[in-house]
Amino acid sequence: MERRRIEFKDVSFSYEAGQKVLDRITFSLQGNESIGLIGANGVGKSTLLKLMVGLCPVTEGEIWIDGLAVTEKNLPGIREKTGYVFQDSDSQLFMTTVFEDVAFAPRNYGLGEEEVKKRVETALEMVHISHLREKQIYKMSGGEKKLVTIATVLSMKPSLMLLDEPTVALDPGNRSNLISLLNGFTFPKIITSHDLDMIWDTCERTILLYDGKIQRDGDTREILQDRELLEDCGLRLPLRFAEAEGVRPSPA
Amino acid sequence: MSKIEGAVREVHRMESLAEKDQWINRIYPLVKLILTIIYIATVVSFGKYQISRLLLMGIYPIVIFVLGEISFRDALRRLRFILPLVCVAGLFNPLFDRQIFFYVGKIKVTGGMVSMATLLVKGAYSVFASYLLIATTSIEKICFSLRKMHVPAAFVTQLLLTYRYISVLLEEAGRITQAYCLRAPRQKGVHFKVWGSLTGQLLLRSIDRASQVYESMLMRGYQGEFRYVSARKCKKGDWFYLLAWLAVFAVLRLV
Repeated sequence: MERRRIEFKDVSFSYEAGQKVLDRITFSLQGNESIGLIGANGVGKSTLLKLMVGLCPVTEGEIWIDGLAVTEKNLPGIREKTGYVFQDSDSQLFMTTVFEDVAFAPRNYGLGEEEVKKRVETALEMVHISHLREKQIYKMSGGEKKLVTIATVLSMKPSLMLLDEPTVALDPGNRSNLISLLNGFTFPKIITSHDLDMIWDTCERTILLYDGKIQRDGDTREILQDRELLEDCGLRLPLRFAEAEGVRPSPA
Repeated sequence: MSKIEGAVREVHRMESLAEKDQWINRIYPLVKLILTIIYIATVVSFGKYQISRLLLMGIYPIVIFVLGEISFRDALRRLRFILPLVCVAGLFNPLFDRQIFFYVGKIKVTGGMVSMATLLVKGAYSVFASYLLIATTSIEKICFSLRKMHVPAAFVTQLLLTYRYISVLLEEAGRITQAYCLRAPRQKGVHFKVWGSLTGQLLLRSIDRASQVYESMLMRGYQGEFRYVSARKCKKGDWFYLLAWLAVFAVLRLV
């Protein structure tokens, strides 16, 4: 049996007393699985990711990442091996140039300058943006910024990646580049998104959240073709199926 | 372009300048910081009537402006914020110090006038030196140099984050006022009745953005101490540059 990389045991979370955002969430990720985390707005997808890396405190239940419980003491170790790509690239990029931003994490982990350079070069090559090395962040397009955010995480050599709505605001070209890129990564990933077509293309397993609970956890192919289930949870079929059925997306 | 957009662009423009690949940008940041501090200290140390000797100290900014291909006009624009303050500080000098120093034609030049002019020149030189430092050195490198000078980490981090959050704050302010203007096209500026709610929104949104930036830093190993600059060693050329200028300052000040 493959090693459990992530384990949620009865995790609940509320921002305000009495209003649970997540309610008794239990699941595990094994081996190098890629999990798509889907659900309507406000269902707790981003919160679930934040709980894993201690950006929201675990108050009920337990979370384990690679054998480490998510507690204050273990956070530096967990964060070092977890690459977290935020939804808003502008919030993730805060240095002046691409090089400086991608080098931020390796330098913080005390690596020598030669190693830092090597890591930055490798990360930029992996996302095919070596030519942007010296470019200033504020001059970049949304698609370029997204790739840089991924490079900032790759330079840490993560063993696990969490991506929060990675395709938001990307044009179709950048979106398909990102999908190829994600499929090229061999480490486990958890991707939250409303872009169900992207989830179909990148994740073999999907967890559907509804009302703070796991409504369904299983094969992506099954869940994303279950129209009734998706509609009950405030979602719609991926566009590829909706179009195949001749259903035009509602303009509303 | 609104004033806020202009301010954001100005911040980015200064960052672009600091990232240029000129010889002056490549000088070790600590050397530039030390030189700037010593230059300002030297300029300030001149007596209030030593204007003729003080004027010679202009050689430092002039040389750097010329060789570093840095816009003198931009530096002059910055004087408009400082000179009025300096003027206020020296306003009473001509009134209290009426001792006649010399005549220009038939005009009496008093000690007060000279001391006020000295004050203005000191202010201008200090602004130029500071401008030259920030135009050739990124904020990260300045903070790195401050740490090298053993300035406490908490203070340096505060400085860096304040600088970073200025652009966050300005960007949020820009978005809010843009959204307001689009929905109030006939109004000139923001009506005073909504100042309160707009300021509140600005504060809340800036706090949100700032928390996200901070979370992103935490996720990439930040633990209270920035390690933000390539650890390039200070070379002989850097020391020579420092010593050469120090010698010039010493000559101008002491001889």
